[in-house]
Amino acid sequence: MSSDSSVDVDADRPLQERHWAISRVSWLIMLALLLVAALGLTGSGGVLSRQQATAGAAELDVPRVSRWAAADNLAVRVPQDTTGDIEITVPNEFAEMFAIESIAPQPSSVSATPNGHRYQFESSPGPGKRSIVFSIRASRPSLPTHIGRFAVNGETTGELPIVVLP
Amino acid sequence: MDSVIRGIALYLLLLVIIRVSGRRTMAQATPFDFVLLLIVAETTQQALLGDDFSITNAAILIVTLFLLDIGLSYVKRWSPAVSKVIDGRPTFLIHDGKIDERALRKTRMDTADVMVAARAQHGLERLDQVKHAVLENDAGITIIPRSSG
Repeated sequence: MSSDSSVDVDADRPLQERHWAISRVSWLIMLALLLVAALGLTGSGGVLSRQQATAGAAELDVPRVSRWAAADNLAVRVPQDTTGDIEITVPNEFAEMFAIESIAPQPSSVSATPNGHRYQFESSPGPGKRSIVFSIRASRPSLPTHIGRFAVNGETTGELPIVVLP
Repeated sequence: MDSVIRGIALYLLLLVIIRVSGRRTMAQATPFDFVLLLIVAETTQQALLGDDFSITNAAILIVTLFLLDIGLSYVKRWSPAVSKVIDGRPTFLIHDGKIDERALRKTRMDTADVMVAARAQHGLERLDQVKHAVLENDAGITIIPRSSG
């Protein structure tokens, strides 16, 4: 019990030395976690937290790393040279993983299709870039997975990987 | 089920972080440390509850945390090895009048911290009056003075 004849203290120096070593390694791991977070690999900002995709002339800004139950957004920028509606299809896998809380501007119609949810937006006459923002919130954590292809006015993106951290 | 998983995950996370952050944290707590503690508590609360502020969720979380704590106390009782890992063991900062510089450095303390405890506990005036100084598991310093005369 005692490490010393003059005092009854249950000290364990080898254990303490191991603990100090493990603590220092743990501090380095915590520092590494901070750096990873600063890069955006834990979501919520940072250069690596988002990914850009194109669907024809449209540009999509999609989260690459999101967080369970945290607010996020998906932005679609569509250059529109001619008058006509904008049609965006959100793949089913994405729609099942993220709750779409609001859309600005509001779509004129939404329909369920085999490829996903199709949102139709009215567009004002005249050329220029339109921006549509979906406010989303992950409804469950997920390992890195492909969430299907978005489509904008009939043009599709590639498969987009996404991870939702718990 | 989410509430139980959140409770277990945060309990273990806090246990590990507080253990590896070292005992100095609590022993030398400054007013800022208490503010930090409040911020940690607030952050933890949000992660625990999420957006579910129902009484059911609170009840499940409280029961989860208390059961974990009771369970862990039994595990520590049955297994001294686990108890050592989770709670640590007392560390000599001064042993038989000899200052353990390495222990002081590793615990981020100095002899001034030892003297604070020596003055408070025994009214000692000098470091050479300290026979043993022990950093206890609860992050307090216990002073055993040299016998007078």
